[in-house]
Amino acid sequence: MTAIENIDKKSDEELVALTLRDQDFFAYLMRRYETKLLRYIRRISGVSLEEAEDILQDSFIKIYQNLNGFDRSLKFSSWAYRITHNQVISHFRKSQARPQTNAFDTELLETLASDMDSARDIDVKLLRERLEKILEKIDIKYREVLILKYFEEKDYQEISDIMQKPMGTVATLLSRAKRLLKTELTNLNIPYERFN
Amino acid sequence: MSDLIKKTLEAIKQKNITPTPRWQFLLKDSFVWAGAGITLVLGSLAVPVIIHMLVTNDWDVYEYLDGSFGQFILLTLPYFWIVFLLLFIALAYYNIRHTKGGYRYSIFYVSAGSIAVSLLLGAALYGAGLGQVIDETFAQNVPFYEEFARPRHFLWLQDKHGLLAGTIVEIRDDAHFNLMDFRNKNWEVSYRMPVMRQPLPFVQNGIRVRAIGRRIDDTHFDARMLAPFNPPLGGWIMEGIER
Repeated sequence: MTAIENIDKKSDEELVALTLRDQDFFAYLMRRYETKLLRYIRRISGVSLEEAEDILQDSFIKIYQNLNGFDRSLKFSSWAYRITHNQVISHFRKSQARPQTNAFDTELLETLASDMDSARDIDVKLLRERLEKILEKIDIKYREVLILKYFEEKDYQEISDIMQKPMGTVATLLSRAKRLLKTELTNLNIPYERFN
Repeated sequence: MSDLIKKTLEAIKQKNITPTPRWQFLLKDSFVWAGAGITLVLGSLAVPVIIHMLVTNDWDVYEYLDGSFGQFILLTLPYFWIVFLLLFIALAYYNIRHTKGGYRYSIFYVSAGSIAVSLLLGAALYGAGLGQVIDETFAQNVPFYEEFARPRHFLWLQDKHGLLAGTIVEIRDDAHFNLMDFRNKNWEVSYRMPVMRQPLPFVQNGIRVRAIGRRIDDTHFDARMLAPFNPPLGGWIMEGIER
């Protein structure tokens, strides 16, 4: 078994401990999360790839600086997502811009569309286009909770840890986000039975 | 290794970035918890004063007022201390919310917990006699506390509704004395009390009294009932009758 295979078998928490002893191990942690976090940044903010990479680099540096403050009662992934989430918010505060959603890919939209009990005769492509327009209008807190739940496939506890909100609030946000989508779909005369 | 990872590692090395020591996180967390504890204890100091003010309220007087019992309660609630308590509970909530893992608890549970702790601690402090001590310490040392934070004083400044209280500054004769009310306004108070009780034991210079009667004019008040200001309940002596 090679050294890299050995490292791949280590948990995130073990890699954190190794990184604290030897900086170079941080590369393995970054490798695990680079794609996921980059995609997450683009989904919630809609920034360009270059801008997303800048935000991710800052997030990784923050993660490294705060490794000793890593709360071991959390999953490392939740903690890493939380720091990235904060970095995105901080980025937009600095630039005083509102996150856009033009980086949504069709996967999310289809996930959302299939999560709804929509009438089966809707043109899926049309629905996707309209959903994209709706999501552009939705506040980031609703958009983010939808993304974490349906796209990043996080459970309520993880979303709570990432957004630093009680689980009840997460459930409320998710319910409101769905209701917003439902209202907008109704306004666009798209039939549906109900949202799950 | 991707370019992003290489660039990040280079940035860490070039800027000589190191992980913040663990003790700094522990210290920060301890400060936040200490802040939450201190705000809870400070908030709970309001509870014994609230209990003290409610217990020593003039419950025997509301029947002489024009309004209902509800209006009497609204008039005499210790608003200053209630706001003080709520303010510190809000501060405690803010601190608890910023502890590690504090975000997991809803505003309802954190607030309910803070209120419960404040009430329990406050009740114990009231039992130790701290309510009156705090109230009097504030009255002696905090400007405007007497006028604005003691609801009994509002009640006894309603001379137009027949309620007057203050300090006796001069005994004129067996039926008159001069009184300075809580706004430092002078009154000449006349009274006709049971002959057997003359002179009234508490009608003395420097003693605080309260009177129920009728305002004659801007400086004259006719007292039909008189009682010492402290203790607040009972002790009334009225024309021809003792209660």
